[in-house]
Amino acid sequence: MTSTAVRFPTFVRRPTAKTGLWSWITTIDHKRIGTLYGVTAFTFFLVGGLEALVMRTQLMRPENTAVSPEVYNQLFTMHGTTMVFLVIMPLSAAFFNWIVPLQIGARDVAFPRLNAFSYWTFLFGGILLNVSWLTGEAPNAGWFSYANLTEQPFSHGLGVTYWVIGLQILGVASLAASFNFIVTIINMRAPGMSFMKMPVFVWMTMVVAVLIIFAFPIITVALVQIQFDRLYGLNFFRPSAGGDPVMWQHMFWLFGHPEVYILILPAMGIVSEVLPTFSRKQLFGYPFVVFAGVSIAFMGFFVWSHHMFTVGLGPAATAAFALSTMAIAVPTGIKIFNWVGTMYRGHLTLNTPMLFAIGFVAMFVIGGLSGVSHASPPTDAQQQDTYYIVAHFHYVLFGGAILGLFAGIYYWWPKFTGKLLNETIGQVHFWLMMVGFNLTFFPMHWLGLDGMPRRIYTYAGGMGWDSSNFWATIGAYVIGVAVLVFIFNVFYSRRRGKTAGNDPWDGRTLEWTIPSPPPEYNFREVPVVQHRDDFWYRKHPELVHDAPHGTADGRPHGQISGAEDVPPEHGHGAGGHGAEHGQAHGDGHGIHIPDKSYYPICVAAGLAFGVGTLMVQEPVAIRWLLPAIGMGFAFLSALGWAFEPVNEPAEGHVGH
Amino acid sequence: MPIRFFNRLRRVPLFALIALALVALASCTPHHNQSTFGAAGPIAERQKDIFLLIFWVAMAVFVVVGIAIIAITVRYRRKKPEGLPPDMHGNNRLEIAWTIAPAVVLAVIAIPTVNMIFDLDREATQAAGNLEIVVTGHQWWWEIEYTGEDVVTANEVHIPVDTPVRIVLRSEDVIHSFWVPKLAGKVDLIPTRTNQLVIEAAEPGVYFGQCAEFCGEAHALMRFRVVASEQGDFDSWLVSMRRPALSPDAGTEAAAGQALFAANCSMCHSSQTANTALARSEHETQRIRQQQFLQDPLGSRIVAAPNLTHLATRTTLAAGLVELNPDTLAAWLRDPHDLKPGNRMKKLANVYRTGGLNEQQISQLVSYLLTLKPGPAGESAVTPPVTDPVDRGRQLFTSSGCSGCHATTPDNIVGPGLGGVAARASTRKPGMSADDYIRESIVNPTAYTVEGFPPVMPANFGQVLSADEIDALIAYLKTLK
Repeated sequence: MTSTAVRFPTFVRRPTAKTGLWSWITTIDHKRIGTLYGVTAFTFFLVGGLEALVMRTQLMRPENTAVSPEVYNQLFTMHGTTMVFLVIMPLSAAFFNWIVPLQIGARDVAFPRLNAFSYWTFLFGGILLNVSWLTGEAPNAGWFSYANLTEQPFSHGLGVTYWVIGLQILGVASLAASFNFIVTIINMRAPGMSFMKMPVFVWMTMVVAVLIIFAFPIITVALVQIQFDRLYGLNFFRPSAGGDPVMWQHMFWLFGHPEVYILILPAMGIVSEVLPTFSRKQLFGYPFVVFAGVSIAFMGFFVWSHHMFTVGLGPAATAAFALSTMAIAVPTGIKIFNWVGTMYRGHLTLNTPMLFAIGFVAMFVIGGLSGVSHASPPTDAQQQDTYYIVAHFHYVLFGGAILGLFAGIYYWWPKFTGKLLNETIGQVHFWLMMVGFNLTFFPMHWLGLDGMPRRIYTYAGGMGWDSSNFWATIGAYVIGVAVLVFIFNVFYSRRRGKTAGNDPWDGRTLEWTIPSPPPEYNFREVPVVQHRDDFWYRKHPELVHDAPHGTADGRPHGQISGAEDVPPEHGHGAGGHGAEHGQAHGDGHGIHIPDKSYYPICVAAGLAFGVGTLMVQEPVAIRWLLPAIGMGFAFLSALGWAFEPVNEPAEGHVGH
Repeated sequence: MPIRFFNRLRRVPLFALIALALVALASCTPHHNQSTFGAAGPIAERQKDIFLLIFWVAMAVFVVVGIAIIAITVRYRRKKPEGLPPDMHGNNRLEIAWTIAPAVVLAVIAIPTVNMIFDLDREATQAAGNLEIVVTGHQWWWEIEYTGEDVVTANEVHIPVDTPVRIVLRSEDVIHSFWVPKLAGKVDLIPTRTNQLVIEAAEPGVYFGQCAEFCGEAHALMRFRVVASEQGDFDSWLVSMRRPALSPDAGTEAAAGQALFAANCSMCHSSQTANTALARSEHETQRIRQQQFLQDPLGSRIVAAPNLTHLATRTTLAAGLVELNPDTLAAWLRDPHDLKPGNRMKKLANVYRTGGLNEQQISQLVSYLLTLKPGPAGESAVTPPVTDPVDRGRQLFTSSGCSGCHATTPDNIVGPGLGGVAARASTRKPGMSADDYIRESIVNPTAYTVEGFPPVMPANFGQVLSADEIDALIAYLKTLK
């Protein structure tokens, strides 16, 4: 950026606060953004958990009257929507943000401001969804909101509209983040780190980003269609006018099934990091684990109608989807076997992150096996829409994704904060959570097979369901206690936690080579990578002749590359992303860090306001005014984003 | 070392067995009302069999993998890291083995699965020659028609045992799902399409069913019963459904209830479909009520509501919600919302908007509703003649089904409200007297249809009613204001 470039609006310097609220609002540092995602997602986890506790309290006894059916229907809708979109996805994003640049040896992501924009958009979308509670009209048609129940005669008022609009905003956040991570992973890996030398977590990040890019547009189209039906009187899903509610199901599940792989693959990536570290042994069958992850993602687009086995699609379609669904069990099994193979003959340390990772494997096996039973349509006709399905997806999403994410929290907490979470409290958390979780969800297997449908605010006495429901509620409260134990651990460890140092676990991957917490620039010198788990093999060179190399990088074994033949990092774009020089013996240019920016939050706010106010239909004369204001503000902020200056244009120069 | 390992390992199969036993014990409760293990017919039986196949395969996998995880965790735990384990990168042959093995296991599940999908579909189509029942889903009740038999009812499906019965599934509003676990897996009712399901009961009994697709506020309370009986009993039931109820004697509690019913309930609830013509037009009538409701969901005073023909013969009230008896009927009429939150009766029915029913009215209505059962075989529906033509006409107005479409006030339901019809009737067709116009409207409804109303009035009243009866009706109608 030289002085002859456009100078709009150069009177506004880039923000420079390093501490305080303003520094968080204008941050573009992937580590801070990761923390923002994590804290926000965890807060939503508590909200979603509370919603679950109220539901379970209502279901504790038959014909209970703790909440009305109207409120219950809002609770289960918001619980599902919150846990999927506001908890698991952003918690995964917290790890993408924090860990991927560190594991690939980069200083930040490819588009730091876009990264911040993704977070703020997510926050505003999540707030919009939850504001609905305050108006007494939370969405109430289920987390998949089937048409035509969601059409105006059957769902009047704003409830479902909050869901339709809120999800569109959240979709923008996810898509932006996905583009960011794909470009980051493809372009910004440290020299020598070929794809097959990347940590599995980075692979899963990339696979999930591709899944999001292909899946989210589908639901966006569907959401726009139902929005137009509800707000502007169109007829996409209205039978009376020739619309087809089954089309909604197709479109939702074409998104929805890849979405569940979006939910589980990051946790699988985390487990693929944690198990080797605490087995002190490399991941068994790395290429197969990677390829299985890619296969699951690809095959995940061909199974969607297994959510529709009772719709009457006809025997040919039903049989085809049954077969494709069964097929997807194969790569899933491959991953499980390879994880067990990693632990086999390892030297296992059964600390909290490891326990959560092993717990993930065990619980996911149960959830996966019940999933196989759904794959057979004749028996699925008895299971669909019952508590047996609720059991299945909680085993894979809670027993799977959430336990995996907790493994990641305990594993990487020292890197984020410089202190270890307390191990004893962690074990209490783990065991309480395992007991509570199984007590809550295991009985649901037989409740479903015993004929209890899902999404019912109450049930008759005398059906034989009373004691299972009672104990499931007790289990839910135990989970609540476990979460409180975790929160206590966080606060306890802030003050009394043991200092972590760079490498508390004798780790394998690059994030453990730098201080905890890392400096703003991450790596003083960009690392040069020779092996998969490069750090481990630098620590244990005696293992090197066994070390995996992945695709040939042309380097002879056992040598650290010299400084001279290191390709430099590519230069920065208009945003001022600094250039680095990866010279092994330090550099004399200073490490250029991208400047903070006001504009990501501004564009996010404008977008959220502009899209959110589309819900306001009265007064009719000005119903486009507020959206126009919002979008206008977003547009102007985007201009600012594009043209804002770098704070010190004289120093940063393009790499050469 | 190996001895210590196996000592610890001994306990693992024991735990696994205990867990298995618990699971088995807890889930085998086939006597529970909606248990899928209590299969009472061949379709549910086959669906259960394929579940058990998958279950045992899955259990085998679970035990093997579970034991591996536990054994490995226990065996290789190191309190203090000492040296390094062998740096195994993988084993290609193992990878191939544990790719092929699950695929083979899945094939074992896939083959019977695909066979059963096609078999069940073929059987559902083949059962079309037999008894066919059309179930139409409504929020939050079930409309049930025996199309070939001119029988319409609600919330209770009667079938003969040992016969595959084809159920045709439709919806007038949102998506529902018809599920009677002991007889068959569920199939959805979707507004734009017609689905089919075959059920078959092997033994007589009352089977519990429930809607299994979230359909709005009272989804949890949208239940039903399937009553399976021996063929002879089923045939008698079908015949009895075509035998009109006896009209209550004048001056009784029940007669007062009948008047109340005609004035306040009959615009939504048909009760005379024992009459064949009315049975045939019932679905259309319900559809029209539903259309009116959809035009103004919040303000409408009419909606498609359960058919109450022969209500007193049913086992449950409010769509399988409670047992049907005088107390539950009274509780329902007192406050429908109390029994079934979300249902539309209290929100839409005019009588509830204007203060509700008092205890005497409730008692009269209950008496009347309990008379809604087939009259004795061999008698006609019309009670011993009443001398006063206006009284006779009032009786006929309900028993012939006029009240299903015409209010006695100026309010329009399906057809024009008949309050004040005397004045209007003389002006409709120039040169035609009021009496003649009304007579023509009854016997030849399509000769003149008032603008804005659908031409759906049954055209056979001229054959069903005698000349005296029509005169009585005219006399009564002219008294309406």
